[in-house]
Amino acid sequence: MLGGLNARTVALSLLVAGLVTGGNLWLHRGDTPMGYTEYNSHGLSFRYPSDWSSYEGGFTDPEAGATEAQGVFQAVHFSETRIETIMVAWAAVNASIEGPDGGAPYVDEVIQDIDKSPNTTIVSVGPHVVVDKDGVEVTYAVFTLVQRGLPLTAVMGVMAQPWPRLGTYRAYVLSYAADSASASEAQVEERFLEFLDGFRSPT
Amino acid sequence: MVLMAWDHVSGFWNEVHGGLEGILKTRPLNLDMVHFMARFVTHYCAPTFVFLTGTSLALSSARRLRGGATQMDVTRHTLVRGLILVVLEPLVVSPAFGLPWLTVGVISCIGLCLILFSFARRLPPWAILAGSLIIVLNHQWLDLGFIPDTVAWGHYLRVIIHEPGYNWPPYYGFYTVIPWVGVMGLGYCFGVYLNGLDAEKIAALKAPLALTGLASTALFFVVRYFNGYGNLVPRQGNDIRDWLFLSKYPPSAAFLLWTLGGMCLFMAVGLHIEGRGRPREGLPGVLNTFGRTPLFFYLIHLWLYRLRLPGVMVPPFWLTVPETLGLWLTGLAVLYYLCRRYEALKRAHPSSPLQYI
Repeated sequence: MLGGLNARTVALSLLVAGLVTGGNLWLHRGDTPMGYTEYNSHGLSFRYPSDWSSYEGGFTDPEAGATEAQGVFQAVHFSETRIETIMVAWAAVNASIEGPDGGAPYVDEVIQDIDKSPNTTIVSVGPHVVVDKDGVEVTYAVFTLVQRGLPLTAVMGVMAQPWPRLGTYRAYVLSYAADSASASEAQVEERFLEFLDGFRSPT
Repeated sequence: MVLMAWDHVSGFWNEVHGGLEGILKTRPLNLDMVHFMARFVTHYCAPTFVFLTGTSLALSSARRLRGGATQMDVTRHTLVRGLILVVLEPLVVSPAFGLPWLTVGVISCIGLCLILFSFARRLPPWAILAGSLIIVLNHQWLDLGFIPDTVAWGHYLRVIIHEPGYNWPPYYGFYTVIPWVGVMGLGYCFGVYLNGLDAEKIAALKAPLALTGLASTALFFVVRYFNGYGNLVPRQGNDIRDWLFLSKYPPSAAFLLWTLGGMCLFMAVGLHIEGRGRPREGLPGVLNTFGRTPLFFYLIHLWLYRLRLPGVMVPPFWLTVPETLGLWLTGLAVLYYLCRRYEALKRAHPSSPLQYI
């Protein structure tokens, strides 16, 4: 006997609490985790921390809004001690981006475009890495740059998936970057892969 | 309690302090390691207070009933004690922190929980245990969307029940009834359990408490590792601050696993010290003195460490961490003297209103 409790009633209490908690876990299994916001538009979905600032617009024309055909979404965390950003850009293309002649040149092209931006210098570009994302090849590279005097470490990845609604492909450029002082190259790559893991596209 | 005093002296005299905990499910900008850890070690205080209030309620209720009091007497006493705490918050506590008088802080939250428990204590202990576990483990899914947030009463009700907030003066609140009432319920059940034990069996709880503390801490790391259920503020990396940056307002399951686990370990250490036969000597004796006059300590220490008039929030200068440590220790010496005097006064007048403080 445990005072007003006994082993049987303690076990019963634990069972009831366990069943309720288990039921809730099952009911809420698809929920966006606490502290995250889910972007869910234009057939895309991914999550980012709720306290980040976000921007959505046209891919080539900053004045234009995002559409199914092309668009860009960026979320940024900016504080005294840490800067982080994720970016997803999408555009219609005629073919898949796969194999040695597909993803790698596309990644290089995007990084070269960044190098042409004002006050930006690419310092180093790591080797291309190819990973599988739901049966589609994603090619990415870790690179470092200095933007407005701030050293950053970033990952740029590309992939393309069939886009059944228009009978063509849609290319995605996915990026994660952080200031080099707060995250190592390995950490940046790990966070990019986490972000990629939660990324969902129309197929 | 001495850790809590450190927390508050740091809050009053260190430029970087406030907000170094998960509040409203967000993470603050500045996470300087020294100040972060100085704040983090104080997280044990509130869960331990609330838990032990429940334990104390179970023990004192049983004692009163054994002494001839009726159930109605015990209910009335608990209700009055809860109401006094609710009133003390705006009168003494909120002004010390420079907060609006309607702020729901730890004292008024404990008061509200005591009011609920003045009636809920009549439920079967197994129902209290099950209900408390359900509250603590499931409150992250509580949706108060049915209460309007655009009208003052609705907003304040949400703040009191489960949604801490400080963006609509004066309806501020940090300690919400849910899930803290669940923590008090767990403490109450622990008290019910202790009621059935003699001194020898209580001493033998050292090992089970240590094991419970270690298991709870291990479970904390599992919850943080998976970074899903139980984390109201997600872990954003693998730095020590990422692992230990937890949601306190409201307390996540991870926060409660860490703090209540630590409390169990502290209790095991306390039983070990008591087993050595000199719990009233040296440092344990000083801590025991504080522990016998907890509310008095709480109310006095706030104004002692503020060292400034009501309404003046910013001190004339900021202290460094070592200077703050000096002020903290000096204050503890003064508090020890005051608590001993108060304890003697309370003992000399057992039927006076002093019994409520």
